[in-house]
Amino acid sequence: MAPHSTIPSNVLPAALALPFAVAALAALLGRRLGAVAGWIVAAAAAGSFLLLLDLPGHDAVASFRVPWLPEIGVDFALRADPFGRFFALLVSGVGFFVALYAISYMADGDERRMPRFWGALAAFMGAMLGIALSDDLLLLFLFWEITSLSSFLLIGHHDDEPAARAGALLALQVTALGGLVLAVGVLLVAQVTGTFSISGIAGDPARIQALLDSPLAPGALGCILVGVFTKSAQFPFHFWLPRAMVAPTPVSAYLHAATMVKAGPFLLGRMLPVFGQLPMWTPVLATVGLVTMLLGAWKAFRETDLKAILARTTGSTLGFLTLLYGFGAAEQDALQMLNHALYKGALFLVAGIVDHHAHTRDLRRLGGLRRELPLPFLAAVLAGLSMAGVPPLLGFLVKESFYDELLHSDAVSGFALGRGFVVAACVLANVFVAAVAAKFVIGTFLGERREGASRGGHHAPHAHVDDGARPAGPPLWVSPLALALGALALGLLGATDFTGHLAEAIASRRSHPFHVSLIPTPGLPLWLSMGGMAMAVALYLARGRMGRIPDLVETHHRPDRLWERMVASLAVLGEEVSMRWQNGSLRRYLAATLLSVPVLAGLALARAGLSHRDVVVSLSELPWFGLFLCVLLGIATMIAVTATTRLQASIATTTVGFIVSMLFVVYRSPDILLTQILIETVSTIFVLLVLLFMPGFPRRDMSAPGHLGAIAVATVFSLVVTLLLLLSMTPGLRENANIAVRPGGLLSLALEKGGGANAVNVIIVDIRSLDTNGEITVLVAVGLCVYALLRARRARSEGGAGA
Amino acid sequence: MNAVVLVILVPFLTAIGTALLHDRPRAESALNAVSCLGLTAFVFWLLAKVDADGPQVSMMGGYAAPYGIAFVADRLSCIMLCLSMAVASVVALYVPSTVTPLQQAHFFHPLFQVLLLGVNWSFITGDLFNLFVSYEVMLIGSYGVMMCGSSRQQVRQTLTYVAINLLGGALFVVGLGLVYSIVGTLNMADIAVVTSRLSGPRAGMLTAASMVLLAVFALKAGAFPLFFWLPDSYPIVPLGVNGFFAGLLTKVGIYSLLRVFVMTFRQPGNEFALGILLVASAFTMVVGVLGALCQWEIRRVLSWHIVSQVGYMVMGIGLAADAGIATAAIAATIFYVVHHIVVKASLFLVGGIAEEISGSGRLKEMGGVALAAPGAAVLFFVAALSLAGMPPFSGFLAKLVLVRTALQGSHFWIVAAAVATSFLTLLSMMKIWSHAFWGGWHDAPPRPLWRRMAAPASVLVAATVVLGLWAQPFLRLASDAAKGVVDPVDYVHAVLGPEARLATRAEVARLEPVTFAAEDRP
Repeated sequence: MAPHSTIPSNVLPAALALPFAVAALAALLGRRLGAVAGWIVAAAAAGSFLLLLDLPGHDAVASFRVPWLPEIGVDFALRADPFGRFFALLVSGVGFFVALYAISYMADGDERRMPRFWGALAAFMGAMLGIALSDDLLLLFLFWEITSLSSFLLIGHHDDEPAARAGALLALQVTALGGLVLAVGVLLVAQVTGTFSISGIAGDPARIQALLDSPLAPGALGCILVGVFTKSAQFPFHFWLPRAMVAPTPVSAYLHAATMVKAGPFLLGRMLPVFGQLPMWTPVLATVGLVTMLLGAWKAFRETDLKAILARTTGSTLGFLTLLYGFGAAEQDALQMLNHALYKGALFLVAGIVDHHAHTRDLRRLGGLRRELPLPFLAAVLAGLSMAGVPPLLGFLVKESFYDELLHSDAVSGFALGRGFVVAACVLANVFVAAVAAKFVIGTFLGERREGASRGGHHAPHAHVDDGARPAGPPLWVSPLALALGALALGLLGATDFTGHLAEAIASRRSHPFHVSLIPTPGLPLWLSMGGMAMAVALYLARGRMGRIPDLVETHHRPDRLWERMVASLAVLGEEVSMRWQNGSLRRYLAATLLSVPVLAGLALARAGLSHRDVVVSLSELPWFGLFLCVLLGIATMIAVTATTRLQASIATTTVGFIVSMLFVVYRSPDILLTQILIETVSTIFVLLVLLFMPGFPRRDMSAPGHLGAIAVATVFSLVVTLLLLLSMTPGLRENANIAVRPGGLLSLALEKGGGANAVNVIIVDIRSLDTNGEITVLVAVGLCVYALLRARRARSEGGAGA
Repeated sequence: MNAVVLVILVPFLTAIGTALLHDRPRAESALNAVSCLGLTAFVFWLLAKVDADGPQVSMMGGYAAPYGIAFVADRLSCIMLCLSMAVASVVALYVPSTVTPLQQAHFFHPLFQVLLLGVNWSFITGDLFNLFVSYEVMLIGSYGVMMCGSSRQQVRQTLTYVAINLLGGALFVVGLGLVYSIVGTLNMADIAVVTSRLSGPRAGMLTAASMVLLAVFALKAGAFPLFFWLPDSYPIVPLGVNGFFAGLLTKVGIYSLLRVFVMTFRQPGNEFALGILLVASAFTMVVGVLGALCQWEIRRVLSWHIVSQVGYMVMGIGLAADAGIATAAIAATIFYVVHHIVVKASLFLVGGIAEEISGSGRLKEMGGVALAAPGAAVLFFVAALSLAGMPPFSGFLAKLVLVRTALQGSHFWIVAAAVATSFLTLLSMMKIWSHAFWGGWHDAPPRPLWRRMAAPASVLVAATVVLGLWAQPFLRLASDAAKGVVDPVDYVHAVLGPEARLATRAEVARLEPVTFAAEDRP
């Protein structure tokens, strides 16, 4: 990375804030904003674009940094290095054209959904700018997640259609899971390097070395790659992208072709200088990139839906970018992204026009639209040629220089599968993509006009925009044509040095000069390109025969269905688990609560090496009266346990309570005794009242195993608690000076300050009177509850009598 | 500073006042709201004062610590009080739209104030036995509010709640008896001083005895495997107050774990208790969120999520077993508690709004709320994403600081559980969104009542946005509060005087682990 001088700039936060401000405006004003909303979003995009364009030039980098969360070392740091600035310009530039297009395209939709659409679109744009400009990993992650969320809302725009909801949920699930894993990766990187700052890590060889040496590095990179692969639909997470095509077409063009899915490769570009030397970098990225590239190309060739075709080739191109980064070939990454954004954005927007016009996107029912849609036809031809890599379009230059890179990069020869295999795979993918481009353009615009397009198709909601009834915005063809002309212009400018210089200026890395020119130099790259084009023509001509080859890849086990089944089975698992813990049986709940004590205490005792052998307590101090009460207590408890009616049980329980109160006589505290009796009385009344509302004793009595289980629980609990009590009275295991007997402690306080010889009484009514007060509050509140229960019962019985 | 007592005195007097006014419903709910708002202002002032001047102590009856009951307001107490009063105020403004005349006649307001009394009490007391008393007050208050209206279903469901909690109360007393018998004091600061000196078999004995209290607090918090009372009982709580229940009640358990198991019990070997919590937290998170995934009623989904979210907070406490990251872990936990109370309460309130608009809380009968009431949809979307830990809301930062701490301690398995739970939470929140908020809406305008409910709810939703975007002051406060819990030197000095000598965590950690050698046997 070339050293740049850094100059602080307030333009960056302004360019970033503009779309978010518009999003907030759209959310706040809602439908009151009406059709103006789209124009405001387009204006915000243009505004951000111009602000970023006007940043200082080549040798200085604008940046902005304020502390955000110093507690965890996170800054609100923005930095417009050439690559980031390029990406931000791409986002806002394409965003402008997409917004213009969407004003007209969405004009006939349900206007109640439009505030959400424009708000989400603007927020998405802001978040993408944030990803491009963040100089802090955590900040980047924050924007990363916002793009997932706004994408979710946009895919699910037609939320009354189940397919739209399902597609949106699928996309969110995959990208959000990736996002969460990415967050862990980011945290690991920050933990090892000691900073979240991207330029701080990438610009500091010592930190990079520390990261590479750390045992955490593979884990951190793995987490980051999961985030990248989910976001940019790389294998094995590629399946959400085709399903996201239920989104309105401007959204597909913008999010799922031109910008959001490129966030993955963009982050790879950011991480290349950091992790590029890690041994796992090349094999993982190259393998995933290759598989995604070939899979997407093959699948695209089989599709017949215009948007599905474009989605599949997008996946393929993204795989290709991943491959590129895998080999560290970042010198032309930006140009690749720019090229793809221009032609793919244009083709998507054309697909939208075709859909509007013919009410179908199925190639089998399309054809001959060139006369009805001449300008979209022109845009499609230009974009299609660029996609196929035909001169003089930008696609040709890009492909050319890529082959060049592939043939000369050292990393490729180091890759296990070998240079020959990689080159062959790339040529093959390009052949398929070029054939698909031909299929798209020729199948839609040339040939016979087919009348297969019915008006009652499932895209009926968006009816006639182009019939001129409601001219809401500029004609639909403006945006695709502008993007396609951009591809043409950059291609033609390749005859001069302009395109080459541009590519160098915006790339994430400038280590060696490379060849971008419209004028081809004879050599292997050119022959590969020419041969590829010839094969593409052959493939196109043989498309009918190819179509008869059975598609064995992902037909029986579609990964998106697998994923959905997996998610559904989680709910089933949840049902199993929750039924086990939540079966409504109070007896089980009580047993589990009771058992938790002996289990935990038993473990702790074992850990401390304590057992019953350590107990040194003599029971001879207990008076005969106490012993007698204990026997009574046992009898009353047995009656309570064996009771056959609720009434019997509650009376027996009350008896237990009264006997316990009598124990206070032994310890000479009549006040407590009185309180205890009072509580027992009230609670008995309360229980009896509740019983009135309960159905009769269940006829199905507890089974024998149930009895045994209950006895076991009670026994284990009692034994362990008794052991704990005895141990806690063992002199060697307790502090000797408790607060009662300390000098100046409770006993002397009671006498001196409380003025009472009965320390227990003084403690209850004076020293700790607040406790008593609390218990009184409880009693009064119980009284209120009882009163309410009684009134409810009376009201109900009166009501029942009246009816 | 004796004004500290106001935090229980005001709800106490308001309970009496509202009970006396209960024939005049308007005056009653006005008194309820005014009292909540006034006390909210006071506790925020108290937080500012404590943050500046250190812990404030009031000794009940003028008996000096450790003999009398101490009320202590440190940062943690004040944070909890601010949360409880803020949510109570919002609820007090929300409930006039939802409480039925029957519930009003059944002493809804006095019982709500008793509940508030118990909750505030538990946050302010510096005495272990007094904490038990506050639990009892809280229990009767929550029980009364839950069965307010006395329908058959309510009475039956509350029986489970009350039975389990009474058992919890009984265990609490058993645990208290054991602990008192071993350490000989009930004042938390005093226990902290005593236990920081404990070693050998005494420390092991105290750890074993403290397991009873661990079970009690875990039960209160709704931690695995003791959460079974929770998902069944919260859905029957009257609309609006369920926000307070969901936000605050389990958090009393979390607070108690922090106060008792992190601050008070300092003997070597206490990390065993925290280690158990760490293991339990993984199960709590995962089981709770799995339970939520299969529910089809908004309130049930949200109730199960209380369980899974409690897991995160328990996880933070469990991480404190690792002395190197203890302060960071507790700070993360405190920030999580703040986030969670705000978000959970707001989700229940917004869920109530969605129910009000749809006329049902069953997801399969709902749909189109986003078209009928876009404002309510925005509120839900923000709160739901915050719960799932999506940026830029508070849940994101709360989970972030927690996971960051766990990574620092190299506890990768708990990170995996936390991340998986966050993902599943998002799934289940989006299930609500997709069923209740998306879809077509019949064109009749929704019942207008929801607008009155939306105003208080949006205060809480705004809070989660602020907590996410402007988190630094809250993170700083949480961090300072955590220092005061992990090594409560100021707390102990404020309660017991400057001569009290507390061994800090670092000093305790230097002692050898406890083994019970044969010659030590008594």
